[in-house]
Amino acid sequence: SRFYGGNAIVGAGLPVAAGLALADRMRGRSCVTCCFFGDGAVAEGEFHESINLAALWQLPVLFVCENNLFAMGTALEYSQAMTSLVDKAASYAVAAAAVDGMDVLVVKAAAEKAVAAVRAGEGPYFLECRTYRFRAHSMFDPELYRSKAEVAKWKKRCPIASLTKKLLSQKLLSDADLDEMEHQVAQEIDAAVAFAEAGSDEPIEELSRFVYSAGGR
Amino acid sequence: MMSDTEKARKITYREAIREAIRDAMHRDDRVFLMGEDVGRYGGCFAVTKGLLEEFGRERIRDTPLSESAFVGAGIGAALGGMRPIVEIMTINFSLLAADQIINNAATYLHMSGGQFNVPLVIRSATGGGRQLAAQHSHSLEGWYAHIPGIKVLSPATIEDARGMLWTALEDPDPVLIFENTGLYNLEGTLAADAGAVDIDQARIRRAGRDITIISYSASLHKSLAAAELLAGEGIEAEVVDLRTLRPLDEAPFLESVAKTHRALIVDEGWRSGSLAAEVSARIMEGAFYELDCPVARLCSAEVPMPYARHLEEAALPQVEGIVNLVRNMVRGNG
Repeated sequence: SRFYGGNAIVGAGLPVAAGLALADRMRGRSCVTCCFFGDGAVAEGEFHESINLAALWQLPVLFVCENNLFAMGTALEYSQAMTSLVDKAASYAVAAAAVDGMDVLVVKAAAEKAVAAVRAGEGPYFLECRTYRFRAHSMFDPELYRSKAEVAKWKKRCPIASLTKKLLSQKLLSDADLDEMEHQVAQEIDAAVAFAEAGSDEPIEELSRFVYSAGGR
Repeated sequence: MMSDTEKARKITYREAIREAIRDAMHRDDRVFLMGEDVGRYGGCFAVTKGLLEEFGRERIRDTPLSESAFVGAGIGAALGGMRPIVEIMTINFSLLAADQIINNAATYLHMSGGQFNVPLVIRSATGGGRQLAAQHSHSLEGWYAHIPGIKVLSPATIEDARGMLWTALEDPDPVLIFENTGLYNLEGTLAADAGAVDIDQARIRRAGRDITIISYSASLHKSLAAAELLAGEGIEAEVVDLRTLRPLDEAPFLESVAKTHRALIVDEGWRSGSLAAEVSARIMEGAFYELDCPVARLCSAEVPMPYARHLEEAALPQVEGIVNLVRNMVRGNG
């Protein structure tokens, strides 16, 4: 697998991404490591340490910041004195760009450009995608920190709805195509849920499995 | 033909570690070293002196003062197929990377359901006795011994300084090696063909019948010196070197206590919640009915390590303290 998982410690995935890229470079592999995180991670020391290390060693990493304006319930303006994240990244001598994260095609074009630059050996790249979190942080979040009107305003710019509208208007997609895609996605999700619910729980005897590698001590 | 002992050469603990790093770098091109001042400076404690010239900047990497980033990068590089040796200058600085060590390195294998193991080795200097005061001298390795998912080594001898690294690098999981700053200048002999040693067994360093002294790292040498003095008084102490703090190899000290019926633990960590407390608990669980007197512990005074030499000496376990305790335990009411 090339997917190294998420990280519940905000920012803690960035150093690991730098290390994966370091391994690629030292082994002469032409891979690009792509690391996703939110605006909250930019407040962590690990962001600053990692982006500096990646720039210093010219590592092939694409840092993608999904700036959705909220770190759990704290808005960017209440946690950062300098709210331009792309400027922070640029200060480490890293190629950096900020794009409208609500426009799928803009993000695609920006990501392709960024990956090409990283793959060409130009060092790390920072891409800030300016977006918004529609839903609550978690099931336990009553969303006291923002207004329903604000959320509704952003929902009008929903990237999926916007792209769909554009594709339909340009006749690149028909209503039937759209129904078929939505049906396929729903089927895939239903199948995954059914698979999980039909499975059995892990045996208690395996509680300590994978604490250390098999054959390890 | 000369025996290995005849071929043995004089070497310091510091040189033995350097030789282990050089050997690993030659044996496996996936091995590289990174850390603060490991290259141009030659290592804060001169362990890595000359390695930059020999192996070049790609494999001997000076890092910024970013413990979290370069330890995390070590984890990433290990996931990416390398065999990194990450040097953290002192154990106090390892706290700046505690997130990466405890939340990432120790959990990756488990959280990924066995998909991703982390063959990372971290080396760090620990311990007091060099007047480096309260932010460079603590012995926190007992804390790391609390964490499932990592292994914690504590080489006290030249042979272990030389031999533990390769075995650690061959281990599929993260291994932390804590080198005591007070041992870097320790001189000893090493067989010409010295190489890898096990990293999962405690060792009896001195045989005895009257009491078991359980120790590790620099305290081992104090325990052995005390045992030598006690032998002059007719008290024969058996001295156990734990070597590996996690997983703890308890059989040797439990068997020893079953023979001597007394146990003293000497540990440079603070007493409350210490590794010494863990060893003591294991003795209670595994050898309680063998005991002729209560288990005793000699640990560091519960103060931040002082700078002044006389105060630092008073804070650390010393030979005299060990001798006095043992004498009381063997001859006293025990």
